[in-house]
Amino acid sequence: MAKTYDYLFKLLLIGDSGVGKTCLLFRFSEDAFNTTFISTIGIDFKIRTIELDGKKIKLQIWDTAGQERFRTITTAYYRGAMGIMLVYDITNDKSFDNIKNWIRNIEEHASSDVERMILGNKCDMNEKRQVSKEKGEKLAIDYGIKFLETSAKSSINVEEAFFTLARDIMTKLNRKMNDNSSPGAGGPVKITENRSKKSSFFRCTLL
Amino acid sequence: FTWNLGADWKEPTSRGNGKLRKQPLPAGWSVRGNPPERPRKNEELTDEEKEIINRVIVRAEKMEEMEQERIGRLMNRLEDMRRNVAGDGVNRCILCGEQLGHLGSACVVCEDCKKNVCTKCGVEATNSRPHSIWLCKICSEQREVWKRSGAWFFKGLPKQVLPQPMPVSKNKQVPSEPASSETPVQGLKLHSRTPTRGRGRLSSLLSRSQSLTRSDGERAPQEHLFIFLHLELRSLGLHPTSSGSLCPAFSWTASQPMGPPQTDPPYSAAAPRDERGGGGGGYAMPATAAPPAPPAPVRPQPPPQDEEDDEANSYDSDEATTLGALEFSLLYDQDNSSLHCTLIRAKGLKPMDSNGLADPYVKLHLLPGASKSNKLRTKTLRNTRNPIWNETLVYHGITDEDMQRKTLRVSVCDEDKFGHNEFIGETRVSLKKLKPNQKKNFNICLERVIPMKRAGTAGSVRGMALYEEEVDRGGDVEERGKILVSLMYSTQQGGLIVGIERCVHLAAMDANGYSDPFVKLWLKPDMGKKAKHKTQIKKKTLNPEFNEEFFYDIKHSDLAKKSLDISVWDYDIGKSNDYIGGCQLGITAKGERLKHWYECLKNKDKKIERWHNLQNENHISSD
Repeated sequence: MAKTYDYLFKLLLIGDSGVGKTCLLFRFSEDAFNTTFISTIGIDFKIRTIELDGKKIKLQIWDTAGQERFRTITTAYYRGAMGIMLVYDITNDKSFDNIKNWIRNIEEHASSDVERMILGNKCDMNEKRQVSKEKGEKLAIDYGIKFLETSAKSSINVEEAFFTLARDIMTKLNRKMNDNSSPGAGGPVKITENRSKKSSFFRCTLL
Repeated sequence: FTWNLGADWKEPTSRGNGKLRKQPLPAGWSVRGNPPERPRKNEELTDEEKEIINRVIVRAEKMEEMEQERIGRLMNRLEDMRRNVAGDGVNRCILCGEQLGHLGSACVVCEDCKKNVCTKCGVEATNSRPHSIWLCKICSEQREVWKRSGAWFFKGLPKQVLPQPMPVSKNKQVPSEPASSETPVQGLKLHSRTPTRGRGRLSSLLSRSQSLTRSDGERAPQEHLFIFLHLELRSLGLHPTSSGSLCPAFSWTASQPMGPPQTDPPYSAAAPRDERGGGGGGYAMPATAAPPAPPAPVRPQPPPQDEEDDEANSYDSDEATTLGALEFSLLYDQDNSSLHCTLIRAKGLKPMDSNGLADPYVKLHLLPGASKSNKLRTKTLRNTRNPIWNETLVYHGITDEDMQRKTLRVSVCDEDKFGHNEFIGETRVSLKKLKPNQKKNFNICLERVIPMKRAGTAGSVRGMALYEEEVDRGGDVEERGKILVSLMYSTQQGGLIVGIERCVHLAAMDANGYSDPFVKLWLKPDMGKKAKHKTQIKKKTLNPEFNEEFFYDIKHSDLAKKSLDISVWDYDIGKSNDYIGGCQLGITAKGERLKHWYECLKNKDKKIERWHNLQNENHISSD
């Protein structure tokens, strides 16, 4: 365990039961996939260390149970998260509708600085699709959150998703720690910041 | 830690679409606002599920511990840098002390501390803005610590953010009892909507921010305080009802009239306190979901209920017992050559944190020959003065000879951020008092000083009798070493110059058979921040040579009223420093110590050197 790292980022996966949160994490951490559905009990986490801009970043990724009866437990982990993945299943309308409830949950319980990202999982199952990609993108735009369609099974966009979220956290870190300016420059910074957020988001949805 | 945080720290709340956000959450979504009497359907978790979750929490705790050690190392490095500043930051480079200006080196101003530094000790920060900024190496390192520790995100150094494990009805794990017995009832009522843990977190953050600002006195500490406060209040404000609704045990605790102090608050399985801080909406099982609460904490090894134990258990901590009482049992298993030490609980521990509570753990050492390899410790329980550990720590390979020779040192400490742990009190048990294969129960008062004569007021008669019987101190004051100290009152400089020359025969505290000693000085009382000094750390030695001098700016007439606390510590990276020994010089001291002080006062401008034996006394908090 002598592995050294520069930063520790804590991520969290949330979304309805059965959308594939555990599978996404399994794909990302072990590069494997399992078809049998085992409902997560409460919480779990996995570790993977990645490299960004020459920095070793240890990702501690918390997986949560989607089931409502674990909600009290899972919610306790929001506050410690620097980034949250909101996952829905493109073959399940209801899981998509619930994304806005999950977002509400984040707003209530997570740090206001938390980076977010929406994932439409199971995009390999196009024949069963109930949620169009456009619908997903539209929702993401409404909230100003980045969006990707993923497949844990076919290993589509999984790496991209986690790296994007990690990079967003890294960007925030650098902005806060390297660019903090002299007193009085607060106002303008705020404005440019919002604008840059928007543009980077558009760039991503075109992916 | 106060470079300007700018607007970034007050992240705009403009995220998302207002319309979407105003929609109320459908039933079953809101985690807050669920009255405890109407818990969500299927909320109840089986013991099996709880155990699975607890295992995950344990795994996370281990990782968190490593992370805390890592942060501790970063902090120590930063502190070392601060300790070693050589210049004034005006005419001389703050770091290396080199002359600045047209005669000396090129000079830049550190963006964060605004001190002058030479370009060698400055770091040019890469920046998106047109003009570059400079940081002195300390401030640059400080920013780095913020980045690496996660403080940049959490607006303060993150403490463990994990909820406590859940109580499982058949599990041996017992959550610590609600820590409310010392807190005024009224206070709890006033704050009945504020989780106790939240207040604990707030004050722990306050003390943390104080400790963070401690070493850079130039900056306005209240500014940080404000930031921490503001953020913490905000985070509390975000969950105004979560604890009230989710954690009926808390509201119960708050409204429960306090019983007599010797009565334990009834055990409640529904009160796993989330004192780790940062947990925000920590979970707790609603009352109906809680497993049937046993009438008393389940102990792994319930002590035999003989008369002595009944007495011991009803021991009530007296006001005079300021350090607290400790209950534990020892069993020497002769066949397996092992010594089982069961730390049961402590009562009425001295409050160590600014919230009036403590985060206690117990440390065991086998003496003589203290070393890391024979150090054991319990877990830390948060925000309580009445911790129930119920943990059994085992020494293996203990021979009959060891049992005749060795002394077990049991010390209770308060865990603090970044391993600057504080010693609360200790006791020692001569192992020859134990009969093989017979468990012996102890209920003792903790203490700081080896009593030559017993402080007679403390504790119940029974408790003290027990204590006296078990703890035979006469024979086992083990060698801790000696220190060579010089004192001189300089009339020219108008102050006391203390020289820490060297130590010999220090007790080994590390597994390698050595210690990493350093010496702390504390001129007491009422000297404020200037009162404390530290030497450098000497690595891996039991006979360190320091040759360092420290100056106390003090009038000769005032000096007579002070006393000088000298303590020797073993520096541990990322962990609590171990106390090796100390001595106090002053007018209230005795023998050689008094003589030394007296001679110094009498002979101004004369340097007087004396050897002093180190003893286990008056620990200065390891801050």
